[in-house]
Amino acid sequence: MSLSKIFHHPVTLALMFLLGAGLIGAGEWMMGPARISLAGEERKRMEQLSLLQTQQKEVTPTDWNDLKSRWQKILPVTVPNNQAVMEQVRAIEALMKKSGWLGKLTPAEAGPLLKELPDLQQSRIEFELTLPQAVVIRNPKGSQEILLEFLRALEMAGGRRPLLTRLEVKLNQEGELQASGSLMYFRIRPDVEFTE
Amino acid sequence: MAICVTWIQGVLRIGSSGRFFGKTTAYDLSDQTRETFPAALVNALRTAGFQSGEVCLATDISLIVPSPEQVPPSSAAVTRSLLQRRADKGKVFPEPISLGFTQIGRPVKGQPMRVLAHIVPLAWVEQIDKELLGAGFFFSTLFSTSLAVAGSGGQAVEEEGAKARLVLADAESGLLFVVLDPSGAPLFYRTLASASERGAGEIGKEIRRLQLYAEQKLGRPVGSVSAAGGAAQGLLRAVPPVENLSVESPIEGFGEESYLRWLGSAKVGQTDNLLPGKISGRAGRERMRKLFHMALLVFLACGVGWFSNRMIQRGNLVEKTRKLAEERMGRTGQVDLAIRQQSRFRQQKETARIVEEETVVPMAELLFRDMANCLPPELQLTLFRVELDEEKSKGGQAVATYTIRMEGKISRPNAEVKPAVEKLCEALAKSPWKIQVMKRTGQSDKDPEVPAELKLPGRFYVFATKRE
Repeated sequence: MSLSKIFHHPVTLALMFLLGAGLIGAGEWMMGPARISLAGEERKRMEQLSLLQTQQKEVTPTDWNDLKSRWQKILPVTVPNNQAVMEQVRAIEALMKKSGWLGKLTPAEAGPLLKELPDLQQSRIEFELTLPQAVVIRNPKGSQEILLEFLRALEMAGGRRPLLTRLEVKLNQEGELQASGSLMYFRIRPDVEFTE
Repeated sequence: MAICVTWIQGVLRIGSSGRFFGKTTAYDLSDQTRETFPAALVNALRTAGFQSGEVCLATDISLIVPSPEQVPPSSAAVTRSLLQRRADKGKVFPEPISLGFTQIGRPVKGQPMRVLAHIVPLAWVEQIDKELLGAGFFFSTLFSTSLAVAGSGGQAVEEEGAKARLVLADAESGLLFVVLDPSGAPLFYRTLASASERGAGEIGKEIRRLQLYAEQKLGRPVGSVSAAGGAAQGLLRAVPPVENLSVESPIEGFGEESYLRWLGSAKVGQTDNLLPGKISGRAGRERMRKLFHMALLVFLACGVGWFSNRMIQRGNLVEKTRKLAEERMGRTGQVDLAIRQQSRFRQQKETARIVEEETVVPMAELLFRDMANCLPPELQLTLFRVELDEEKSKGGQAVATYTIRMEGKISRPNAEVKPAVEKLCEALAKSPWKIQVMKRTGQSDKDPEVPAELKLPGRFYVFATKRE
């Protein structure tokens, strides 16, 4: 069979048509995933850019500056380490001695405060104090006022500000005023520094 | 490009319409018969250098018989079919025939249409077609040579009583007689062989014979005669004057190639083409087939091109996607950093807030201080406890909650406990801290959680809570 006859054969013609159509179809079909992939990538890109823009807009350099100044203000009222806690204990002991209180101070181990804020910790000093009658008699102020003054002094001791999380005041059998409680000092984790 | 061939009085002339008959080739095929002509035609075509093409043939062979007819006005196909039936019935040839027809004049509404049928044996036509087809040619048209003369000097609008015209045209060694209708259409034709040898007398007789035939058989008296071609003019000049027949000026520019020229301009679809559609349309069908094949090839090529183009585009898309992904991945660190920074900012801000706000107000101390103002003189406090409820105070939306416990006794022996406790509770509720009493003497005495010693006479207790 000559080449011309093969070319003119209906099967050849049909195959040519099918091949042409197949090539066009295959071309289009193979474009599909590439188009979808590109569209997906462009969508991701837009989302990423939008997220980045939002993040950058949400916290401005001014916010960081404001926070930095606040941060610098709070640092002095916190206890940076165990040594600072012991300094607080000594300061409170000095206060006790000065105002005639008897009792003991127990510093506790530093621990976490909130799981949402891992940088912020707490250091507690438990206190159990008694105000002897002799001190009350010597002092023209009432025992309650003496206690309040002492509490005020406690909260200012050493220049660091604690949170009085527990306070229990009672009179013992001898009519002496007993005060126990817990002073919580905030502590920024030592490895944490203010960073943008 | 059609190959135009005339076979007149045994002389075969071949010219190509593309070359416009600048050069024609002539062959003497006068010794060929009906049976041998087809093969001789193919040989002549080969000799002339043609290998393939469409062959258009015009001949004055007596196998083409003119037959004037009248048919009802209808389409060409119907007219052809009707004429075919008439010719078959009339037994023009004792064999199947093929025919074409020329319309005479313009059709008049309500009157039959006059046509001149050209009838030829089908077997001869098919034999030529077979030979040509076998040699790679297509037989496209077969015309009577008289049609080349027809139309010369005709009138568009037929005048009343107008007479027919006789044209004597050069036909190689013969003389072609064509009786033309006033409209220019042929009414009848015949060729007189070896005209120059016959002499003016015989030609004059032939003219008179045709004059009589036209008047009696065609119903159109011949009023004038004119010559086409140099030989015809010479012969007509030699013919003695004929009664009732004027000699008109000759048709200029008519020559041996006029037949070829006319043939080159004739169309396959003309009604006077004697070939049946299956033969004459073969070239067209072949053209269409080739066109279809070509279109299919183009389609295939387009498919290949399309596919290639798509592959290139796909490659570009993939490359673009890859670049975008790279950009995105490169920016991921930036986004992560921004997220980390924001998270860090929030944490540090919250840390700052807690340290600032929680240490500003010494809540336990303030509560203790205010209790003195709230406590009625009938009651003596033996225990005061305020404690931050750390569980309830945790979490983002939580507020600092303090639990307050007060225990005591009557300071005066005759004082009543319950009214004094009620006074205390009222004072607590009205205090700036909005303390909410949960349990108290006189209200929660059946509560098993309250220690029994607090329920003794002369003792009191108040358990409360405060939410900032």
